[in-house]
Amino acid sequence: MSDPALAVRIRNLEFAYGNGHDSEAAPLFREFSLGVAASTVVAVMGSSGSGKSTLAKIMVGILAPRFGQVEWGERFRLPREVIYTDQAPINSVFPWQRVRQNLEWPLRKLHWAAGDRTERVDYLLGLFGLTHRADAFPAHISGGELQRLAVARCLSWKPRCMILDESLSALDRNTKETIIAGLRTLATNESMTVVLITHNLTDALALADRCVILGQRPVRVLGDHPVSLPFPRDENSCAYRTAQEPLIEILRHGHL
Amino acid sequence: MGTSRSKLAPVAAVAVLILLWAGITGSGLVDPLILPTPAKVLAALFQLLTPSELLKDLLHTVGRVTAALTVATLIGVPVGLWLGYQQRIYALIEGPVHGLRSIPPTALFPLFLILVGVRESSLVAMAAYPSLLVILINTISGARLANQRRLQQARVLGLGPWGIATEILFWESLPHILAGVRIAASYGLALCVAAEMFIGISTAGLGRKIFDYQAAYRIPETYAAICLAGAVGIGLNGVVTLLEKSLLRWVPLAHEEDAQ
Repeated sequence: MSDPALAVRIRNLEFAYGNGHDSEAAPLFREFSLGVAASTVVAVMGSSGSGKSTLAKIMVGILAPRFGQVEWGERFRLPREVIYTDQAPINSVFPWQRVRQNLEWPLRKLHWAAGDRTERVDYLLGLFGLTHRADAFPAHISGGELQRLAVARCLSWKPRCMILDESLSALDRNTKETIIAGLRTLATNESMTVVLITHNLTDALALADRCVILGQRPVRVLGDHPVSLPFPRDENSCAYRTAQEPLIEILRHGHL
Repeated sequence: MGTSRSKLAPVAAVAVLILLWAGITGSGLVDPLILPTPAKVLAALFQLLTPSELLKDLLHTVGRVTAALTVATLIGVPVGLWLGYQQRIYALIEGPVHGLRSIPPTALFPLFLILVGVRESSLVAMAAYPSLLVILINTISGARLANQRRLQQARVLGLGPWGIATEILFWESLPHILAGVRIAASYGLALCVAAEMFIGISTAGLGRKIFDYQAAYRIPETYAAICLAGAVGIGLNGVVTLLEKSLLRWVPLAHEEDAQ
């Protein structure tokens, strides 16, 4: 990829579920293109069935497209640089390791020095409100704490890009706010690229620099809006409402 | 309150059983040659539990079963993890493995004598064989059920086959492995006692003694040896329970039971 400012570029994507030979059903994606700039937070929104979760899985390589390219920038090409989490946090956590070990294990595997490991783990424990749970097993902490642990673990080794596939959707307000604040801090301080797949506009606006709204059959971009409000975002401010309005309109009616 | 009650329950069950036994023998309904009184069996047990008699047999049987389980675990777990991970190879040998399991291990006694020789080690091998199959099959199913996303994460972080086996698959399979060891322990004990009875390799062993006492019509002594063999089974089961408690504290269910 020529443009170093891009984290990933999707070009002329075509994708259909099934074996791909029965062309009766129209493919879910056809000639779909999208670029994500490095070090930005992009929220991908759309109603249920709009293909946003499929898009995330194609981006990270869990699903393979029929045609088209998913081109990651040079700094993103190592598998560990792009990490994906979904709504099931236990998939990203080792249940046999205590909270602290869960955060430390990836760093150990990547040969971080002991001091760096401790510093990073302590920082993440604090950032995600898990310090008091450091010595507990994942089975013995609450659902919200587990999701915080899952996100923290995926971030532990400073991947360059994180894709959250509805990871925040089933969470209570406090947990969500902790994770959003943590992600925002890391996105800003460590120039992490974040792709947030969500159906929730509030979550998107709490975190994102840019909101992309998808429509379905075939998947296309209905709206693509930059959100340039300062953080933390105030839901009651005038500017917030102004930014919110076109997005609500598109989500509701499919166009402005 | 809850824990003390649950700990007393098995003791109470045994007490009720002994009372029932005493009642039946006391009523004179059963020939004492078939079922002696608990007092007589207990007396025989205390009399025989000496280093030269049943204590020696007990140690021999426990030693053989322990050796058999150790061999079965040391072979079954690594091979099982490997086969669970290499699903294509497992698909090839799945049929034969289950076929082997269908053959009653006791039917293979003569074969073991030819293969291993008429030695102490053939008793251990006979007990190890069914234990190995159970542990192997349990380990394979545990490894096959391993969370694919966690395996993927491990690969992304650069773990090779050895790291994946020891750091992920082993833990993912551990609940299944220990469940396998629990069943294998009772298989191993059953086979060991049977082999001791019918294969005159060694004069020491609970199976041998049960057989000898019965042949000599020493019925209380026969029951005493049977009770001892049962106690070995209960003891082995207890050891596996202790292992599970210390190694599986991270499994959700084990904790919920603890908390109550």
